[in-house]
Amino acid sequence: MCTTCGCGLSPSHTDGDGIAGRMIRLERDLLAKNDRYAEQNRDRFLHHKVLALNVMSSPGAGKTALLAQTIRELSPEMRIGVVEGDQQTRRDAQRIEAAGALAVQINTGKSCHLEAQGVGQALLQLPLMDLDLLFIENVGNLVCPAGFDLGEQYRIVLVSVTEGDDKPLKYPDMFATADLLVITKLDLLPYVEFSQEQCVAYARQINPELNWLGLSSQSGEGMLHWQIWLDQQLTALRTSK
Amino acid sequence: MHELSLAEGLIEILTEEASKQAYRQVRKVVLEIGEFSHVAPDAMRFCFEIAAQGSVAEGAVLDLTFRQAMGECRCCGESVVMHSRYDACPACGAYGIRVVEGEDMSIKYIEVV
Repeated sequence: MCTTCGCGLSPSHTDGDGIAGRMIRLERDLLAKNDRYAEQNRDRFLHHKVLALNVMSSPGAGKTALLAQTIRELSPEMRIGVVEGDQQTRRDAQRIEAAGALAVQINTGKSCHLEAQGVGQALLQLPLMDLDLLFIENVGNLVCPAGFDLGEQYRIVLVSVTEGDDKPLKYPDMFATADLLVITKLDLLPYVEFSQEQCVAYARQINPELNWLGLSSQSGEGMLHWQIWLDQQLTALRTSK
Repeated sequence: MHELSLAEGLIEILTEEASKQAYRQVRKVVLEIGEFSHVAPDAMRFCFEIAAQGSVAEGAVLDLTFRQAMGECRCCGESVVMHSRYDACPACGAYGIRVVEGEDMSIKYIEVV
């Protein structure tokens, strides 16, 4: 009910100044605009058969380290591009370029997440037709990026063993929409209290079908499983219509 | 703060509708926010006020209504009122309830002159 004139939002509603106001029923989704751009991105990825992965985690979980190591191991056989999201600097893009892939940096300024429109603009700077794999490295943040579809085919969330195995319960939105959980920094496991099984169990409380794997970009442990997962998704994409 | 981009999106919609529906000023916006959507109410109000400056919605009242999150158990099919994403099904105890309602954010009504 209206709190100004007491009407039930009727057409005869009037505001304090006595001028009759009109009520208009809208039913418009706040994310509709982002979703439209996300759909455009998705169409472009499918058209060029590029596997697009939205990589998310809290800051410092090892996103860039994992991508750089993946590029060193897989390119040039696999052609990889990276869209890098950070609030400031080109540092991550430089790390990716040093590893041997094409990178476009998006600086989000005050914003805490990437949006589909910005990613779409970044794609114009990448030769999508020549790529097999596109990583979209989101802003380090375990909250906001979960709410914005970028047009990716899969969402990957990283949790490092130094963060605590209860992260999925503390930040459930992120895990609810993820397709793959990657537990990183396994080389540090002997020094911290972290149970991979517990972390996965918590995550599956929210998302029972979530796949997971553990690895260390530093020692190389588990990197093979990660490559196999990437290969499987690429094969599935290429054999799809 | 992602509420700022949501608020900017909201203002964009209100501006767009202004020419379609022939109004010059928005007095009130009624938003329906799902319990599991990505909106913190205080942050949204704050950002709306900033984003509305100089637009058709400058000075408009933002009215937030909440929609309860509802889910469906993947195991037994029970319809469940959800309080968190990691709730177990009250009927069978299984985890991983599928969210059916309560993730959306939408404009329901606007009052205009």
